[in-house]
Amino acid sequence: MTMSSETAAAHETSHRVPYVRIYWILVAALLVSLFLAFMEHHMLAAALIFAVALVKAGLVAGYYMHLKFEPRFVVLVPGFFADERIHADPVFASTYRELFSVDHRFNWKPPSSYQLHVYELIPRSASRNDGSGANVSVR
Amino acid sequence: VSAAVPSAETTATLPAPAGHGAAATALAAAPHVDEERAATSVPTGRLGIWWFLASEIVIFGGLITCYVLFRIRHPEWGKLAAHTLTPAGAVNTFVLLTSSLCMVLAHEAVSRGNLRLASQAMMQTIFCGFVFMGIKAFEYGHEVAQGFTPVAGLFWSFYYAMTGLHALHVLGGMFAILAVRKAVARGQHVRRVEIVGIYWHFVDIVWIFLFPLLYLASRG
Repeated sequence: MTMSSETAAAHETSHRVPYVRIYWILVAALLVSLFLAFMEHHMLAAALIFAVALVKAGLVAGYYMHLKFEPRFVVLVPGFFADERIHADPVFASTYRELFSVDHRFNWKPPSSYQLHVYELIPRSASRNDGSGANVSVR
Repeated sequence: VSAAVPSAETTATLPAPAGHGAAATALAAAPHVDEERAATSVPTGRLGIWWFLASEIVIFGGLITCYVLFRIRHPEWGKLAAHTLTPAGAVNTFVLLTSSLCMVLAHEAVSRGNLRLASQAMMQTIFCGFVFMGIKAFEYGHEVAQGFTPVAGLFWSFYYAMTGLHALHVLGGMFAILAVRKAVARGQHVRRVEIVGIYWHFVDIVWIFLFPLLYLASRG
C-alpha cells in the first residue's frame, strides 16, 4: 500500500539519478575547497570550506546513499532531525504508528480472517473461551 | 467437533502482506534478483546498515567534535597541520570520490541486471581502496620519518587516531565489497551491492570532513 509504493518509488528513482554528473560536481567542490584554502581571511575560509564539505556530504548521502529517496524515518535513524512535521506526514505517521505503537504490541487482537484461519485448526473443546475466539489458549 | 482444514477459499481471504505482491511480480521478471525481506517499509538489510551507520556517526562524530574543540583552543596546531601532505590528501579525496562513483555504478548495473559490469565496477572500487591505502601508507612513512609519531603531541595523536580509524574502515569496506562481489559473480545476493555501497559512501563522507580538518586547516 503506501509503504510498498514508497519502497518501489525509492527503487524507481534510484535508477534515474545522474551519478556521473554528481561525481563531477563533487570533484569541482574539492577543487573549490583547495582554492579556498589560499584565502587571506582565515576564519571566512574555514567557514566556506566547511560549507563546501557539508554540500559534498549532502550530495553523497542524498544521491549515492539514496537517502533522498528513502522514507523519512530512515533519515531519522542517524538522528539528522526530528520535529513534528514528520509526525504530521501521513506516510511517516502510519509507519511510525505501526512500528512503535504500544497499542499494536500489547493490545493486539487478531483480525477475523486470522481467527478463521489459524484458530479453527484447534478443536473448540481445547479452548478455554470459545465465545469470542480472540482469547484462545494454544496447547 | 472436527478440525477444519483451511481450504483454498479461506486462504484467498487472507490479507496479502503489504507490498509483497508487486515485489514478487518484479522479482519473477528478474530472476537474478534475490528475495527482498522487508519487516518495515524499507528492505531489512538497508534499514540494518542505516542503524549500523548511526553507531558509526557516534564514533566519528565524537572524535571529530573533540578534535574541533581542541583545535579552536590551540591555534598553534595550524603550524603542525602544515606538515601533513595536502597534495596527497587531495589526491586521496579524489580517489575516494572516484571509488564511490564506481560503487554506485555497480549498484546501477545490478538494477539493470548487468552482473558482469557490476562485478567489474566493484573491482575498480577495491582498486581505488588499494590506491587510497598506498598513499596513506606513504604519508604515514613520510610523517614518522620527520619524527611526527602518534605520541609526538596531541595534534598527531588526533591525526593518527582519526585517519587510522578511517583507514581501518576503508580496509573493512574493501573486504566486504570483495565478499559481495564474489557472491554477485555467482548471481547471488545482488541486493547486498547497494547495502555495502551505502557503507562505502559513508566512509567517503567521513573523509570529506577529515580532509579539510586535518590538511586544509593549516593556518592560525
